[in-house]
Amino acid sequence: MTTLTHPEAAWNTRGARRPGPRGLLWLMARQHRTALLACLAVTVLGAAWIVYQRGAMLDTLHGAGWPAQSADTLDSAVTNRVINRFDSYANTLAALPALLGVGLGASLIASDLEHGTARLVTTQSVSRDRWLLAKAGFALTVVTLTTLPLSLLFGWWRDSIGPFAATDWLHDSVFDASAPVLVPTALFTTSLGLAIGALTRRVVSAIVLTLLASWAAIVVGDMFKDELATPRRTSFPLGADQPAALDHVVQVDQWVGTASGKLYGWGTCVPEASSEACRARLGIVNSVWEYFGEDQRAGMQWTAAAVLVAASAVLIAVFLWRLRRAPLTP
Amino acid sequence: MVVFHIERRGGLPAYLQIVRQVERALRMGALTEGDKLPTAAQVAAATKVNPNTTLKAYRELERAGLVEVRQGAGTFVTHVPQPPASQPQSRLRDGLTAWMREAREEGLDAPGVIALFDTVLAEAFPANTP
Amino acid sequence: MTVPGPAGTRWALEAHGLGKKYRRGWALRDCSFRIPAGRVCALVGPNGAGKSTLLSMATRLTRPSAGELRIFGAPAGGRDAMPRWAYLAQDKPLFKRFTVGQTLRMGEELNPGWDRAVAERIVRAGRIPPQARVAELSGGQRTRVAFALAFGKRPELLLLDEPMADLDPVARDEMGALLMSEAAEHGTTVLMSSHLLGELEQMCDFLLVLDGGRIRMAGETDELVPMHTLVTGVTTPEGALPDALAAHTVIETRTAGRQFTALVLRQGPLNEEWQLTEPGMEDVLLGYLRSPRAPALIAPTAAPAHREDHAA
Repeated sequence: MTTLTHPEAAWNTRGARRPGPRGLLWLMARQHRTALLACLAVTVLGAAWIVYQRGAMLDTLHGAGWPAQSADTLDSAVTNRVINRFDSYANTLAALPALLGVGLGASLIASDLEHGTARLVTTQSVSRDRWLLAKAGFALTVVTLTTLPLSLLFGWWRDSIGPFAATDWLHDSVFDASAPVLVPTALFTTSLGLAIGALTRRVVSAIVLTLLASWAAIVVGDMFKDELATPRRTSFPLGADQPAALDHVVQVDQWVGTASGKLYGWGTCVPEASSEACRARLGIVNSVWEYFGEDQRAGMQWTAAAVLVAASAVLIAVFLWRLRRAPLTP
Repeated sequence: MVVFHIERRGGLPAYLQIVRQVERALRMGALTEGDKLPTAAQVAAATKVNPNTTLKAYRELERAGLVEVRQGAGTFVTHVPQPPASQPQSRLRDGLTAWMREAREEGLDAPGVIALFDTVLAEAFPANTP
Repeated sequence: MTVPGPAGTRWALEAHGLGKKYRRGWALRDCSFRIPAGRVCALVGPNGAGKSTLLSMATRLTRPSAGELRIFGAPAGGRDAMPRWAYLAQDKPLFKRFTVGQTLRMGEELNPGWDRAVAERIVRAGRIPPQARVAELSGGQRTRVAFALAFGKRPELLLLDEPMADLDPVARDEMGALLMSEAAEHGTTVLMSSHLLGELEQMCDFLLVLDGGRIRMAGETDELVPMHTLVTGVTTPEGALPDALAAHTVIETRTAGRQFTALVLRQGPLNEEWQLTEPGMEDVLLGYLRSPRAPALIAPTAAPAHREDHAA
């Protein structure tokens, strides 16, 4: 190898200032180059996939006669295929924040703490505070730049296929994959990874715990989705067709009720034999729905965003509090 | 240029070893007037000796009038001590050789000779022995 | 080279009542000392003596529980002090996936006073190509790169934690020479912890000895070591040490049969009947470390209470 016999040739002692990022930004970009390239690849490929799928999907739907014909009248085999494909993409996209939290957040600081490079960096001429802020800032910026374009493109796709997007816009992944929710979720999982990494100081345990904690957070989050806004309630005569206003709502609960507004469980008087008599006896005349209207969607997304951003801020505070003054000795 | 060799187990302090080696180099003609002594950094690189030790040795040599420390330029040989006339040296050597022979005949072995020599040397030059 | 530090402070490192308490107790307690600029100071002591704790407080990897530590007059760990010192940890952490060139680039990016020529010269002298990955380097080469990073910072104070511990003899010799010559070149003050007493003897001109979290000895080697004498003599018929020895501070004694050997801190002329030899630095250090109850010896130069700095 010539480089071994003439190592001098490879040095560039008199090199001028090099182009590209400087200081800690250079270090972040170099140290986390693999993660950075992976995020870039996910963004580019994911975006290309959305553009391609959207086009193909619209071609299929146009071929089937939509939107000239109403969505309900299309061949259900075609619409099911479209809906399934869209759902599976929404599911994948909704899983991205957990992946980012585990892949980028968990190892970001734990690796430096485990391998001693935290001592290397903080004994150069940069303060520990600046380094920690650079780490957190870098991670949060990268996940934002990954999830924002994908979720915006996803929203563009969703809007263009209207009625085929999802039946339940709240509980299905389509809610989680929308821009106001996906980006804050990614910020949250990444902050979670950072905080756990700061606490465990070990890469493997940080990854495992972040995975478990993200999963738990998503389960808990799903449980609280209905709390994001106050559901509305409406009544309509029992047995009648549901009003058109309820076409794209997300139902929260359903009862049967009397004219005076007294509610009974949905299954009340269900046994066929005596149901008429039973209803007459109780005075049940209405079907009562509790639901979220589609116009509440944006508000609920932004409420979710606010909660997630606040939780991220708490986690970043834990991360900083844990490492600002803690010993970095092995 | 003189190359120092520092014995870690030599008993002599490192700075004295440097002094002695410069003196010897001057006597042997390895160093002459105007020659530059290695810098403290060069000595450190070759022998791992603390630079302050080298500087201390050079100050000692300067006090003895053998070298001059020129600020920023280095340490230069300014004076070469005249070698002692060959006559007395060979005479002393002959005397020592005869003494050695005598010692051997008396049954002294080499370590015994060295121990005796060290004791007498210490008496004769009390200031110079560690 | 007892020149004042570049900022006009004579003291590279100064501790006042410095202490560090961990959950299991004090790792370092009530330490006050100072190291003049331009010295190569050995930090010596058994494992657990508090050497690494002291170095990590100087580099702000941990914070003191008590007292204060100053580097060239500025509080250690402050932003003003940061560019003035460099630290080489015992395990020499480096980014394993970086190349050597990128490792030096990191030094350049993170240090305002970076000296690229110095760093590259050190790496080049080891014939390490810049494209080599850190993970592929030998222990000696990795240490050399870590040294290059430390000297490239152009520190006024270099803090080294067991720099030679895991090196083979050739690499150890090479690194020792590199350390001494670079320190000489730039007038760097060095504080180096090590167990290799023999090697320290030539390299260091100042001593800081820690044991059990306390200072046992501090001061110039040339001042401290000659204060001691190794005494060999004959015990009393009862096998006890002669009374005359009690006039001096006896650091350590050993008896074998009727003969005794003692390391003493002289308090006046010694009995002519005894055989007297001058101990080396290693003898003195071992004597103190083996005798935890011997009194601490702190030279006036190394004691911060001694206000010599006003005269300077």
